[in-house]
Amino acid sequence: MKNKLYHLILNLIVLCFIIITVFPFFVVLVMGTYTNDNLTRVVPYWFSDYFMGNLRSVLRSNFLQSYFNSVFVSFTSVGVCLLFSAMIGYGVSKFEFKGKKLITAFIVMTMMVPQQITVVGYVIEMRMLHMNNSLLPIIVCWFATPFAAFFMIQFIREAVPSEIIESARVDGANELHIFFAIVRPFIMPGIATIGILTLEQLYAATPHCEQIQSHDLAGFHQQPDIRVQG
Amino acid sequence: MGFWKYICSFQKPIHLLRVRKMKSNETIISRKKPFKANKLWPFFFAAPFLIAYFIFSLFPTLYSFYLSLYDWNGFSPKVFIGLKNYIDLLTIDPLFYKSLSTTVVIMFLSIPFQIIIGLLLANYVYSLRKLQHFVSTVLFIPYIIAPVVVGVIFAYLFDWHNGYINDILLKVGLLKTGVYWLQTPVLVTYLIATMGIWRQAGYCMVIYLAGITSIPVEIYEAAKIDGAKAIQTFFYITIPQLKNISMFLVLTSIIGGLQLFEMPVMLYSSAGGMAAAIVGGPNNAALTIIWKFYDNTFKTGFRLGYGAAMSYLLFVVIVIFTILSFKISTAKKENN
Repeated sequence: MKNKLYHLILNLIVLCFIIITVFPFFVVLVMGTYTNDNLTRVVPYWFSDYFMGNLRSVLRSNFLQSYFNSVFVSFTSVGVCLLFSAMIGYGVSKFEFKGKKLITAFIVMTMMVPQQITVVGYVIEMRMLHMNNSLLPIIVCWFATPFAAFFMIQFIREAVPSEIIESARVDGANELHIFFAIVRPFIMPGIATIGILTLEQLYAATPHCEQIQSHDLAGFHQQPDIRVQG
Repeated sequence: MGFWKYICSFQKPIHLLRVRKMKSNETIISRKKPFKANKLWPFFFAAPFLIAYFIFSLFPTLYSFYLSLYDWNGFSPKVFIGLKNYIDLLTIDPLFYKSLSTTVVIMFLSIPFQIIIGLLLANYVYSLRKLQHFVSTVLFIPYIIAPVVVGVIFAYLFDWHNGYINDILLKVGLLKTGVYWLQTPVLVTYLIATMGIWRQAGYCMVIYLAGITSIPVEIYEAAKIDGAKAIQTFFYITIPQLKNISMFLVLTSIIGGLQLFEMPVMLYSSAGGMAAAIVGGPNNAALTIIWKFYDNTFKTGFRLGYGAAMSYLLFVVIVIFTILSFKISTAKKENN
């Protein structure tokens, strides 16, 4: 009896948590079905009929362009980031060479450096390279993500058996061939994990990048026409 | 000797070794070839990342430091002023310490709660027999939402005039008049901390859940046989076993918490139902250090050198916090 009561209370508490979690999303959905004027007058709790109207005005406001920009930026930057991280992961974890420890230590050090520290220099650098007012700066800055590289080094060290790589070498396989044909299938779970994590990080940071973009000094006087939906 | 090393490195069975020994010298040399080529390959694999890092991260970082020694607005010629930017920040600028303390206070208000709630939820979800995936997915949703959107949503919820929280509290009868959530400095601090907890608790839960799943079941079974209650197993098995994960969460939360930016900004943006965008909120109570950095550098100030100096000071703060939390965790281990 006591146990049942305890479980009931526990379930109720968690139910409260779930309601708190979901309520804001519900509110957003509901508000999406009202006109702007109505929203300033009442606090709505149930759906109205203006959803299609809002959707129309959203689509009219160049939303699809921003949406496409977001998708394009995320996929190119995360794709290249994954390739570079996997490559350095393979290079550092499966070869013996001078400077191996140095490179590993370097990557661990860079993980501590916050992104903001690069921002000022980055904006000026992009202006010098004439890459401002385009999507390039917010793609390129993700190419070298220390966390992804660190993760891939650890992951490849554990997940890819050295014997298989060596036997491929004995059979005369090119290193690139080994990387794409033998290492790649082994590290797909790691690639998926780190891809999701990087994508999440990128989405959270996209407004930062927009800040870089829209307040880019050289293009400050002309309205930037590239928007990214954060 | 080199030959033997070469053979042994492949770990072939003995009978194969004999065959190889009898082979002509030529074949051995031809097989050595890929090994010689190896010396450049690791650099080939490491190069793209390193080059990209040097161009897009290391150079800007150093360039930021160079700029932090100058007084420059981006257009006029640079003026070298040495460490004056740093000294100004540390001695003259009153908002620097204020924004730093705001950020740290918000961090300390939110991190313990989000970690404890995450741990408790993970423990609960793990013990569920049905709906495990459903509950964990629902609780994880806030983390997928971009912080900007979280800020806008909360600005709507806590608006004085037509916000949901005031409306609900008034209807239930807990309040007689609406509370100015976003205009009262103390409440704003708690509000931003709440946003942090709301967004991060699910993330902590998922990470903890992964940790709990990897604890060997035998330990729990042994505890059960010894007659341990649920609360005892939680305190004496689950928490100690999850120590490393807690450490990871605390560290990443501290680093992320010091970089808090979008959520408070969007609370006071015009998009969030407010009349006009205000920097810093009431009495600068919501001004986090990154917000101040962006405002001074790119929005109102255009003081690039000053901003660069600020970002370096933030880096120092982050390093100090990281070292402190490392020290605390290792000290605990020694005690045990």
